[in-house]
Amino acid sequence: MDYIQPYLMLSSILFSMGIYAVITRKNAVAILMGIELILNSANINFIAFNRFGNFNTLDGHVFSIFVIVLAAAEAAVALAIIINLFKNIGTVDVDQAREMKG
Amino acid sequence: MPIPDLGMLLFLGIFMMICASAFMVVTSPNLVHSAVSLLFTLFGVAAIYIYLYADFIAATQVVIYVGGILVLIIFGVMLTNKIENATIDSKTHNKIPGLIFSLLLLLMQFYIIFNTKWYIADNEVKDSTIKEIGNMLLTKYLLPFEIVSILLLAALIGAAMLSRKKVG
Amino acid sequence: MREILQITSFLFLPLVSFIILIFWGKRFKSHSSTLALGLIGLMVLNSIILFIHTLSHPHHWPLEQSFEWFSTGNLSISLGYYVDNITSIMLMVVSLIGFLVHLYSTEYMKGDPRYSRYFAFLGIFIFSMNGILLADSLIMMYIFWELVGLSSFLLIGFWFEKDKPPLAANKAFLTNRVGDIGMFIGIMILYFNVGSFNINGIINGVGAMNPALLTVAGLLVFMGAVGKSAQFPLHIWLPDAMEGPTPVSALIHAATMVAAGVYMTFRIFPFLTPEALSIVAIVGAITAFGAAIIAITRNDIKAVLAYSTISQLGYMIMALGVGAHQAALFHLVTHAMFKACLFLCSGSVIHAMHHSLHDLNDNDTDPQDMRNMGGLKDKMPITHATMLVSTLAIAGVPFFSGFLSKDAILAGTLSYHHMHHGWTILLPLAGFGAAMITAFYMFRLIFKTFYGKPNNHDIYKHIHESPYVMSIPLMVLSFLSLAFIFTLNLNPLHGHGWFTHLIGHVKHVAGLDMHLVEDGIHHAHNLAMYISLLVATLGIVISVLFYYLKKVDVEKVSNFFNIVGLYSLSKNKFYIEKIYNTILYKPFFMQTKMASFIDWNIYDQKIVDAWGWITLKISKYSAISDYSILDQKIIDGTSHLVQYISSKLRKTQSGIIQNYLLGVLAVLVITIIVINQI
Repeated sequence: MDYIQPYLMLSSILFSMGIYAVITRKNAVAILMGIELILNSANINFIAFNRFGNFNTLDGHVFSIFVIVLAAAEAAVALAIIINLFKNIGTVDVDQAREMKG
Repeated sequence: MPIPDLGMLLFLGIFMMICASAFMVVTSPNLVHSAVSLLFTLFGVAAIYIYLYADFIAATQVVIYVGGILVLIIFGVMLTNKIENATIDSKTHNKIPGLIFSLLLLLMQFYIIFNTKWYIADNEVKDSTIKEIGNMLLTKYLLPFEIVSILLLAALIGAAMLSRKKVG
Repeated sequence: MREILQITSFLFLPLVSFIILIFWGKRFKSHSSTLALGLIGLMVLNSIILFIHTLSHPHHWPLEQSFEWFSTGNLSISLGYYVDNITSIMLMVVSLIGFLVHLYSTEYMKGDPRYSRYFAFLGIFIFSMNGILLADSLIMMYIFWELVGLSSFLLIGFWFEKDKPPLAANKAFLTNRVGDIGMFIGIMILYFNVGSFNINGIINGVGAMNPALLTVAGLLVFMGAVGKSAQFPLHIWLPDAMEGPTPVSALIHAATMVAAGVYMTFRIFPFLTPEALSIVAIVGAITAFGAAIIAITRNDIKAVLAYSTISQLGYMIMALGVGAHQAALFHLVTHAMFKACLFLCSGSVIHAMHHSLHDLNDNDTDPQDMRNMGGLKDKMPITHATMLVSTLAIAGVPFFSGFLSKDAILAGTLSYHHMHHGWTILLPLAGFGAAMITAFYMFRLIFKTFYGKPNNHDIYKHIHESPYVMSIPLMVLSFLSLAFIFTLNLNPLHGHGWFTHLIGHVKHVAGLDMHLVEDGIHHAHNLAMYISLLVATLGIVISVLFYYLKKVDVEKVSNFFNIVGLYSLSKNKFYIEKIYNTILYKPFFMQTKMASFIDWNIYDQKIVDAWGWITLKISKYSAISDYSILDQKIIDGTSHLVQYISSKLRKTQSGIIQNYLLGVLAVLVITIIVINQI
């Protein structure tokens, strides 16, 4: 497209939905999925601005790579934690995980 | 409003698909359904990257996100799935406030998007971006690159440590 | 400078005596008299030097000096002295009599526990008296006027352990105050109309004043003299003032303080209008005659002398009233001499009686009552001789000073009548009548005390003459009562001499023609002389008949007079005390009682205590409200509120992370919206 607005719209829609998922969902993995959505929306923004801004370098792309890498690392660690949580209390319902007891 | 050509129509279709699947991710009671919807969302985003002339990023997205992270998520889903898990997901106490504030946020952003005079650069088509990205990674962004690699190492070790069997 | 020092030494020498003896008198003890005598002696020398200076330099006068004391806004009060012939004469009189009284008191007051304080009070008296004499403005005179009243109070009430002296002192001071009210109002009227307190300034400035107002002002200032010089109707304090020591009576209540009133009237004489002067003369005449009548029936020596003083002061005031101002001042000086002598002689007699009663261990008999005396002339020759001389002087017998001065006054009254006719015949009648009665009762005193058989033999046996320290003042004063001293002329009938020349003439600015007055006096002189000789002889003869030869039965005569109630009038002092009691004292005390009743029963108990009751009620309700409302509802309520809110707020700390996230999001969104709106 020739104008930036659709991309930004898309990014904001994804962002809102990600926020909704993080706030609302009970399952820890579902929350993780929401986080992924948020990160993706940020990526779209980076790339879109890099395309439509006055750049002759590809800073936005590099940033985007980094975001993806970090998302991966974070997802790995998060899932490790979730699996540990599941092992400990037998469920991944975040509402059941409010005690700081062993 | 320019006459929609094929590109634009396709873009619209992909847009719709992303929104729909994102919606599915967020509201599906079944976790597996969410995960699969997430797959479609990520693919759609990769397609959007193509429209933004970010070829390398599109490829990276598919490989890492879909091929790595999504698989991991599905692993997580499967491993933490109990028999009674499938349905109980709806009664969250924060639905309405969450809905309100997310919508507000969305509306705010739309307001900003449509009331800002964005700078539109020329429509120059780049050839493959990978060369330039690689170049920048090793000159301008060398330090973040190294740090991220260490971070990855740390994440790797951490994840491995977290999920090992507790030795008695 | 030398002159200022000389004049102000009249003030600060006695003041120094007072200050030293008041603060360090206990250390001096019986040497206090030496210190006081020394200082007063210096003052006497100074006054003699000043007097000689007066005689030799008649044109150097008057000495005037004044400095500003303080000023507020337009009002400026200055103190200063004004010394002319009359001032130097008066200073001489006061200093001399003061010195003689100091000398006399060293023996009379010996053994008194408050010896030094007595001399201190004498010192402050002389200081104040000199202040009055030296004053150049009415305000300064008023200040010292009050001080003299204070000194009199201190001295009358000197023996305050007894019952009567404090009451007498109060009476003296309060009666003086009544006169002083009038004086102060008069001074203020003069100030606001003339613009000055200075006597000369007033004399020069009254020409512009409304004559009626000037009369009133003059009379009001004269009221001070009525109080101070014990004229009718404020004479009641002087007989009671005899409770003080006799030397005090001699100094203050015979010779000097009571003369201050006459001196002041003399000073304001220039601006007393003829109407005011007629009232002055009437007051003087009533006093002179009335007091003489009362003196007839007195039995206490000092009481006779007290009423005699009142009577003679009446003479002086009457003289001023009829315009014979020279005569008034002349009589003031002669009276000072012989009356002081009379008092000191009576003191000598009383002192001897005291010692005699002490030897007999008798504490009940009154040593001052003449009925306990009699036939003392052999035992107390010096006292007898000096008292006889003074009595001859007061009776107006030729060769003695009293004759000359009284004669001049009576001439003045005759000339006044000659000028004004009508009712004014009463003035010379009163004058001559009083003269006869004076001769009568004074000789009665002499005969009863010194002649005849002693009434009480035991007392008589122990009487002895007083020591020389007491007799010398008597001798000096009696010597000064001779006519020769004042005229330097052996002719007893010649009334004018250096003294009358010294007094000089006073210019009158309020309507009295002094030339007419002086002419009239000159013409009436001879007639007055003959009549006064006749009158004095009559009085003495009657007295001899009654008391010496005892040819007439006193009882029968008094009963005769009592047919018309005259004897009782005299005996009861014209019932004046009783009249004052009913008219003034009783209503006043009733008012006091009523005021006290209102204050205590109504105001204090009902209104003031009511506040107490209200306060109690308020505090009770305040306590209740404090406890039940403030304490329980508000304070405990606040804590309950806090607990309630906290129990609600506790729910936010749910431990559910998504809720926290929602909170963050909400705040963020709201903040952005709000900031955008602003």
